[in-house]
Amino acid sequence: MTDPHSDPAFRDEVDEALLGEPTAEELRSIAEEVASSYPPPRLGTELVLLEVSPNRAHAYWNVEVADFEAAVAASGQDAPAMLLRLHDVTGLEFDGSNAHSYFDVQVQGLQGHWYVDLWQDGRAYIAELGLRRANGSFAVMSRSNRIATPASGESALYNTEALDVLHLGDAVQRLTDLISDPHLSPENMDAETGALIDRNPPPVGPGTLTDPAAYRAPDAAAEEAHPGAAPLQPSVRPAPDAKEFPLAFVPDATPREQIEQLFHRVQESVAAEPPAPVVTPQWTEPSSPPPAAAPAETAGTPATEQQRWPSAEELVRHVPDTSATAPVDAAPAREESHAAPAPAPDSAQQASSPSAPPSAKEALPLDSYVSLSSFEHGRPQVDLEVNVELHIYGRAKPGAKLSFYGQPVALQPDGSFSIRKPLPQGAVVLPLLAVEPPAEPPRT
Amino acid sequence: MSRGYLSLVLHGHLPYVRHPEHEEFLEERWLFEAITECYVPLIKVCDGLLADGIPFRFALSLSPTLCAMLQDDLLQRRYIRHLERLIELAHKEVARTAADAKLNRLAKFYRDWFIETARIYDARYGRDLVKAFRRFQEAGVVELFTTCATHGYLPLLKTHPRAVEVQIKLGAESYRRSFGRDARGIWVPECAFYPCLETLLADSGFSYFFVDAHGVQNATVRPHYGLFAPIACANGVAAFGRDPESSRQVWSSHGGYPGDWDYRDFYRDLGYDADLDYIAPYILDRKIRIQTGIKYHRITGGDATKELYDPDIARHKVAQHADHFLNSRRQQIAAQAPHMDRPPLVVSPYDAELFGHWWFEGPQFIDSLIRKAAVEQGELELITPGDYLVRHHVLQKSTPSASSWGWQGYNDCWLSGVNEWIYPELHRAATRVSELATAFQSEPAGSLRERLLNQAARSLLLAQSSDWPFIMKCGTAVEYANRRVRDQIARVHFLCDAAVKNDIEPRKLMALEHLDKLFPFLDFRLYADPARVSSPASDSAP
Repeated sequence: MTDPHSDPAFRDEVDEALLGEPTAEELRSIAEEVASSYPPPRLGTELVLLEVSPNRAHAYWNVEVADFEAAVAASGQDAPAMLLRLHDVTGLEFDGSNAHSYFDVQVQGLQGHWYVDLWQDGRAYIAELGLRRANGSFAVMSRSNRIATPASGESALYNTEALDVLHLGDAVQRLTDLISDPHLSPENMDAETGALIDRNPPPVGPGTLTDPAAYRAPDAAAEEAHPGAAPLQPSVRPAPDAKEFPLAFVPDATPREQIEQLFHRVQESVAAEPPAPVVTPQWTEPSSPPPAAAPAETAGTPATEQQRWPSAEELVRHVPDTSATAPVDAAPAREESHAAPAPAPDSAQQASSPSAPPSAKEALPLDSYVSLSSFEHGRPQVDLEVNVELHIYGRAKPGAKLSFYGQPVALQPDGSFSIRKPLPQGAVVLPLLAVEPPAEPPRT
Repeated sequence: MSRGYLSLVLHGHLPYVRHPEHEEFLEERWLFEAITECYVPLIKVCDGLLADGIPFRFALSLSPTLCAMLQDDLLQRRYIRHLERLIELAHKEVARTAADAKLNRLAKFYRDWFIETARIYDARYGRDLVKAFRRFQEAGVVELFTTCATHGYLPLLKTHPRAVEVQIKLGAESYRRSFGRDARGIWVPECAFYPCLETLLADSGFSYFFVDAHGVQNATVRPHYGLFAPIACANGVAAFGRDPESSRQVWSSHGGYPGDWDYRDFYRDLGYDADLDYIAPYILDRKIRIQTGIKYHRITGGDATKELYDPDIARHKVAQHADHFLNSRRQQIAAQAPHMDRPPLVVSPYDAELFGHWWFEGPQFIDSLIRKAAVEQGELELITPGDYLVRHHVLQKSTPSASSWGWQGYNDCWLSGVNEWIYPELHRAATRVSELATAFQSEPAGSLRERLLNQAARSLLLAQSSDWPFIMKCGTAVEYANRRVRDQIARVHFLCDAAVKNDIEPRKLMALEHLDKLFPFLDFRLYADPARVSSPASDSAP
């Protein structure tokens, strides 16, 4: 580095014209004059994403008026909703269409910012700011930088590979003869976040399996009636070749059709990404025998007559146990950050899962799911271990059949019920299925 | 070999606060108070230990902004003026309290202390405390290391990688110029680490850094030794984890040593107690009451009336707390040693300004701790991180998780509703400087444009200090922090506009150079992207 203050050349002709050092008064005057030019103009359309904590991100943006007007014109609407879309790109080179999942938050303003609560730590995200078109698709105005939220718990990876920091390049050593967990390896760690890579994350969030209302198509009329509410958007993987992402649930689809499409997409995702245990959904009415083969349809295709509602047991098999892939269970503090992705089964679960799905009668007992919790990976001796139990209680129509994780739940004569479930670590999907006494479609 | 190690790590840092545009400036007292209460007492402790032949080792980071201020002519003169006023007030206090033996003893205590401070600062070290610390490093008792240029909060600057890189590179260069050697370690500001940062640290030659406990506990590979040994990132840079137990004993406002009732009360100050007419010459603008540094009361506790401070009782309590601290470390080590193939290490990092400023007896505590540790060699040895890595250089390979030592353990403190507004400004300013640096990287040395861009880079660095968002969050001097960020950002853009035009009123440039007068060796080309070949200097550049 040069030192211009000590360099004779530093005293150039500009300095020679000066007479003496500036006084305090002159310094103050110049400082105030320069300060008065604040703030500088915000130029250019940009979206920036920042990590706040394992479960929180912050986005700020600036949209040029011309860019906004062009996007509005292209949207086909007078006042399209502005959305902040968070893509889960953990372990991926994001190409605009290959995210594990995404969720939307409705935002406002050409200059703005938003805190986004995230359901899962140890993930990588890229955000996009855009407008929702009349057909439900998403017109991107700006894409953010990539962020990686840290894992908020201990790593599941344990080995004693060592480095000689004074003699780098020497052979890899081990601190002790302790053997690494054979189920875990560095290849399964995400370099950005330090978390276990979720190699088979289903493209849907917990809400998708439990709340069909959450997947209702965007209802323009309803939005106009409730302009303050940020509508929940389905979290689905867009078509790989789509430059603009059509929402999977078109406005004229019924909730039932949406759910059928959704489960179809789950099936495709699971089947497409080995080595996760592929479980072919047996779409049947609860009381009907399963068909021989699952329907093969593409996303967005209407359900066929052969398709049936999934049984509770099938639901269970599509609910990944999060014991090791999601080190912490953190519910979002704000409604804006809903529909986070559900994690994939971890290696321990894969190892213990049957190669073929059990039939409905062979559904794993509740205790089996509980035993797949992260406590398996915990240290044998701990100073403090905290277990959490969820108490679910409520009422159904008297006489209805209620199942939880595939297990029947006893209803009291008045329809009330009570279930307690120890919670594993990580995000959890709790499929609760109620079948009304008449043969009407069940509500999940 | 010792049974275990204790690494005392002090982080000395203050933001760059220097206002030549005002004859007197309240926030410059941050430095003056730290010199009187922290740095000179620490120097006095080291001198005393050296004189007594006590073997000791601890690590001390001195931030580039702190070094720049400690070596700044203007601030040195102003500190002398500050100290002279304090001595004058202390003399008055000795006279005023003559009828009260207990109070008079305390007044004399302050008078003698300030005079001794002046002797050490002016006569012994020629007003250059950096020289004093350099002496201790050369004597082999202190391992000095550095931090980033202006203590930028790196995780929130990394959207512009060059901004992070310059913070680190300049920290290394500043240390080299202050201490004549390369720093082995770096204090990552606020212990705010994120994976991949270790690459930039290695590029600047650093061998180790520190993270908070959960940074190691949640590392990519579960730490085999927990916090009792550092881990090594894949590139060989070591990460030392902060021991939470020893941190709590010193930091905690509830149950920590500094809250003991016999210690001096921080808030009760003569500046608030004395009659206004009497204290007017020693407060702000003769009318705004501020802390003078003369505090006659002890914490006392509860809602009881504050009792007078007794230095002898406090000194006795210091010895008890040093014993307790060492016993606690011994117990930690004894519990871990049987399970380890190397002596357990307890890493205890603190802000240096805690010792003396917030905890008045802190320097005495360090002195007592070191003297007590010295007599039990073999049981517990004081060690620096650099020493440790020489003795134990085979480390478990694991990269810390993103973390900080702030509230909630991540970025929450530096990015919240009260300070989020600064980041769009910081990012855009960094982009602007970087674009111009790339465009004008071939600018001849000594040119006007070079001066303009160098000064723009200084303003950018000063805006990036983690202290500003921290102060905004704490709510202590919010308006000053807000003003600093706004002013520095305005200066960046003003200078960049001038650089594009290659024109400025000469006195304005000179004034801005006087206002932000640090890093004289800074070369704006650090921000340039060398991969992008610059076009010939053009007045129509970005």
